[in-house]
Amino acid sequence: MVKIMGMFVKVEINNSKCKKVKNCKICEEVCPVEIFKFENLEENNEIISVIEENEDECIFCNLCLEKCLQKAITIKKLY
Amino acid sequence: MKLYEYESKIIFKKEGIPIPESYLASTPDEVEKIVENLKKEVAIKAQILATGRGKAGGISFAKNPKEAKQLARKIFSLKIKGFEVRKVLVEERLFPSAELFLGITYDLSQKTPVVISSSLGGIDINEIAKKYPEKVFTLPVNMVWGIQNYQGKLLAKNMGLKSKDMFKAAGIAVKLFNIFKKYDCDLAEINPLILTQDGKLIAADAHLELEQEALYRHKELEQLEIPIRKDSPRIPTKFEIEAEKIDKIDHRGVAGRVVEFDGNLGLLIGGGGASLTIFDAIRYHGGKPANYCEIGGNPTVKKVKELTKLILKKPGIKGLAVITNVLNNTRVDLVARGVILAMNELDIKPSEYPILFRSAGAYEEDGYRILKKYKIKYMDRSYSIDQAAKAAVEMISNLK
Ligand code: SF4
Ligand code: SF4
Repeated sequence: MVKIMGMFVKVEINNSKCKKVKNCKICEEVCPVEIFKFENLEENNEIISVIEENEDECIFCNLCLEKCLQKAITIKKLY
Repeated sequence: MKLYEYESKIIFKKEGIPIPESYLASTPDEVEKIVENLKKEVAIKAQILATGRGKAGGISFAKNPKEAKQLARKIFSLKIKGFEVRKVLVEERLFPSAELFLGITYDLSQKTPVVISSSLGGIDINEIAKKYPEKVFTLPVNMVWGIQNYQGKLLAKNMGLKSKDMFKAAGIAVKLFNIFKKYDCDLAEINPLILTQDGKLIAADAHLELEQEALYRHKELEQLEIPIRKDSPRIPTKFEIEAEKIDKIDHRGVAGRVVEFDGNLGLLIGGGGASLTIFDAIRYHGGKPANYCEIGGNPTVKKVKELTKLILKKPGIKGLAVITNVLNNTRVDLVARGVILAMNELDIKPSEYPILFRSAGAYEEDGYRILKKYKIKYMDRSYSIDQAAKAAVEMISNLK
């Protein structure tokens, strides 16, 4: 089966940068199309990740880029 | 939402507009019983959501229970303008000395409600306006102030009423306007408003149409036993129901409102109300649409994707035309993404599938870049909707 998510947009998070501010969650708050989610990979160790099935909904509003304290997010157009 | 006569009359009764004594019945036996109890001459009226039932035999008068039952049987067997008669309203028969007209609707050019009165009731108001324009009195009314007493009297005077009758009719006009406003009506009509031989003014018929988009704020309808529903000239198809579900995935934008047809060209059309124009253009050039639809208001990629999938999976589809007007809020790139994602999920290669894309406006550069990457033939704003429609039809007819 062909790849069905993230055909047009790639959102990436640099987790080591993000962790420095203990996951402020600002990106999750500002994104209008729910690209970001927090996961509890290990207990009490929350980590931000990208909801892949929503990646192609990104409208390039740049809110996450502007608000992220750590400049931990990058967004690429895949076309 | 169009209301049945009996539903409109529930509201009339609640709001103080006089109506005849009336009962709802679902079988000829029930009709017979009602007439036995009433001990009066009655009118039996088919309850359907279409006008013109009188001419089609949907109204009969009966003198006694037996006759009423017989006539009811006939009415229940009718199919009027495609509607089966499932309920009838049994009412005491009124003996008019005059049949009048009173109605309220919106005048879209004046952007205000207008109240219309006439001394010629009982016939279609459009017919009256055509044949006797001088008999139709139209009065624009301020939405906030409503009908003032003097305006009510003016309306009544133009129905040919005098003295006491004029005051009574003015009162009914005021109440009708209150209903119009309170229930968010698009139309409130009494035709005919009957002046009986013993001097009473009674709404013999009642016709209310409530604005679909405002229904959510009318919880009181449930208490009045008026179920909220969608007006539809027919039962929606499975395809249409699926499309509606897709539109409800998300509140953002529209990617639904689909009507199914039996053609071979799938349509994803819209943009500032252009859907109908595009649909007509396709038909004009001899195309056979598989569906009508509307996309607009910047729907999410997911909604466009799901709708495209639904259309592409429809049996008999040979190609897809994505045609929109120049868009100002729906984004060309998001539509393109949705369409391509759908094809991808269905294992369809965009470069090999008969697809034509004509769109322009918001984020068109991004949109065109995407389409180019996936080798989809597209037209920009230098091509008219008509040219695009023609090309789409040719695309299908050139298929081997
Ligand atoms: S650019 Fe906007 S839509 Fe895209 S991920 Fe960031 S906040 Fe979300
Ligand atoms: S806004 Fe930046 S720092 Fe804050 S949680 Fe998101 S990625 Fe991490």
